[in-house]
Amino acid sequence: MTKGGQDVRFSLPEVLKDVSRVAMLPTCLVDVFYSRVGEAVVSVLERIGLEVHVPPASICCGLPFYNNGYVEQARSIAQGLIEAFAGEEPIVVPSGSCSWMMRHVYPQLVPEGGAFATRVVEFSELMAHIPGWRTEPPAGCARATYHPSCHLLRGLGVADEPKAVLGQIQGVALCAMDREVDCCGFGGSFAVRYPELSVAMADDKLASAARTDAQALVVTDVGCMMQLEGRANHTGVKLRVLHLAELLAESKVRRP
Amino acid sequence: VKPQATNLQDRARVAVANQKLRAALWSVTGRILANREQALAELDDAAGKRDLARHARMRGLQELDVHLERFADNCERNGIQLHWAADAAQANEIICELAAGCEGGIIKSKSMATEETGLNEALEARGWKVTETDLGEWIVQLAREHPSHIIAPALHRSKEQCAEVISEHIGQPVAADPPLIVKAARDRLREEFIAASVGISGVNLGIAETGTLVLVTNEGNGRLVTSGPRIHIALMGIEKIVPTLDDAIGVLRVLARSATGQKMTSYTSFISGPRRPDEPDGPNEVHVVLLDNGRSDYLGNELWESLLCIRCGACLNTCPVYRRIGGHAYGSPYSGPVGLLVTPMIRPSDPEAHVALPHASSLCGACHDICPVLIDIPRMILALRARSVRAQGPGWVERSVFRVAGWVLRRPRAYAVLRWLVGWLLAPFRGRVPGAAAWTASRRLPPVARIPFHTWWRRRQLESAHARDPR
Repeated sequence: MTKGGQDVRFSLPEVLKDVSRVAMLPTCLVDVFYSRVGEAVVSVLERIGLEVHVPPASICCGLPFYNNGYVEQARSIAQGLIEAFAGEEPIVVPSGSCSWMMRHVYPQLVPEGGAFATRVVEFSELMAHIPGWRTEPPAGCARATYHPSCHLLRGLGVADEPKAVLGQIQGVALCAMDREVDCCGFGGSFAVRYPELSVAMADDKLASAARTDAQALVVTDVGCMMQLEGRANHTGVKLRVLHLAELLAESKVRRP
Repeated sequence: VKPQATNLQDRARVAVANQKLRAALWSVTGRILANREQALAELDDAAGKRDLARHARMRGLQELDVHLERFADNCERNGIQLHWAADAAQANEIICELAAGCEGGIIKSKSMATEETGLNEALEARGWKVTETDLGEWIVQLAREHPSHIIAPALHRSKEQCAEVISEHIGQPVAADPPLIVKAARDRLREEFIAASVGISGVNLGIAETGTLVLVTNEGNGRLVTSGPRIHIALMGIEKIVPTLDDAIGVLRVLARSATGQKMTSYTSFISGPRRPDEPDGPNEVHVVLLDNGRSDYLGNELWESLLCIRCGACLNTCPVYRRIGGHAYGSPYSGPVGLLVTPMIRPSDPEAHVALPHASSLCGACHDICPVLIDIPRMILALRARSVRAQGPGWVERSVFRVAGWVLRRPRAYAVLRWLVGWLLAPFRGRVPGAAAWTASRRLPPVARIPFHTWWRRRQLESAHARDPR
């Protein structure tokens, strides 16, 4: 994944300094399949005292197009999305892969991409940088394990933030999976071009999660969620897959 | 040669269902990864060493023409004879001519470049006997297969399967015990080493300032191949040049560690010419065949970075796709992540290499993380996909879907209609949508949100506006 040369200058503390209002890109998968995740994100952001706004034209970041080689379509979508997010406030995204797209690819695709990229904040990054929030223990989730999405971990280099956020939730013990950095097998169109291979990867991931005895598998990307929850439901694996935002909402996060 | 399934997707499907293969792949690649991890942990400033290796390779590529000329001049000064091959066929032709009259047979040390050109087949077509002398390579040759891994050619075979093919060849039972397999191979191959008049090898690095070929091996067979026979022929990709001896050391420092977890390979040979009059042994002639085969095209485009590759195989070992399907499914001598980049280079007119192969990746980025010369493989996989779309590689259905979706996603109203349509089509009681079957056969689709997020949000905004200003 593109690191290094193309990076924009990015300072999260600076972007989040005195922040009181944020914009949100719910992402297309959340809009169509996982509204519950979007609702949880809004609830968490409001509970920690942020005003949220969601532009009606904030639909898709264009990653599926870029990843499949349809660069012109991705460029046009990027242009549209940048127009949709007029203003200066940070843009919160509950997905590592969409954040990667906007932060690393937009600067190469469109002239305004560089400035726009500095506003993009992935959800777990935001939570890790907002001080002073507390939670109650969530019900039925004493043990949780975390699956890092490839774009968040290797693409954006965000490794510690989601774990720090999980560690701050009352009454949740974080149990690490073996080979936790392995891909879940989603990979966008890869999941339908190579279904058998893709689910073989999901099965190994679910087996690793099962070995931790966790009640919940926490993710930060709805793509991983579709893959892992979809496979677990198909094979009858009893494991709850949920987004970090859902767990925070269930833990009644608040900022005194 | 085993019958091959027709296309990449089919081959991957067959491979992933092969539990024996999966077990072998998982355990061997896992073991290599663990060794590599340990070797790097013991290395002082591993990240700095990676940067040095990358820069050594970059220096070679940045002025490749200059360094190649210097390499050629210094080789000739050392008595090494140079040959230039524009493509695979030319390289094979040159080597066949050099090897003509090889009464005693031809022995080979493992070389990916000769796999790339199909040299063994070309030599055999002339009726000559070619014997691979790397143990793994010899086993796959006896089994009439091709290597399935850059550095571990027989990785896909269990020790039982290895013993079986050797037993059959030598006409004596060999137990499935690695030391006994090695002993059988040594006994048999010793005869070939003594009889051979031509030895063929690859080259790991060519040093421009000294006109030296660097060769790394672990079994000692490389030494015998390059020093025993009367003629030594080395096939070398033009990108293997490094300017100086220091640069070569920089690369060697990370090569074995990344490949096998060794500090150094058991044998690191620096070959700087044929036998000199005062030397007791060595070949009478040393030839280097410099192979382009698409490399100079890559040098000038967005795929140039793939030419930095030092063929350590680390990206194969860490790749979640390679680890589950092995090398053969890729249908190319170069498999795994780096194979996705190199195969289109050596097969410019093979549609599969340009259209389907770049999609044999979940773009997880593990290859970029592990690469000892930090090649951004995912970036170039994306570049190949974009190239394929520009050349109208994918079928019209796919292209139309992306074109229409791209238009719709910029228009909230059109998008709302499409979203409703998708929800309608994917509703459980309506059964499967043909396009979604690849997903639903093995995974449940999440229920399409009863109320899409944007709708929920809009209603909420209206409600709170109403609460503030009830009229």
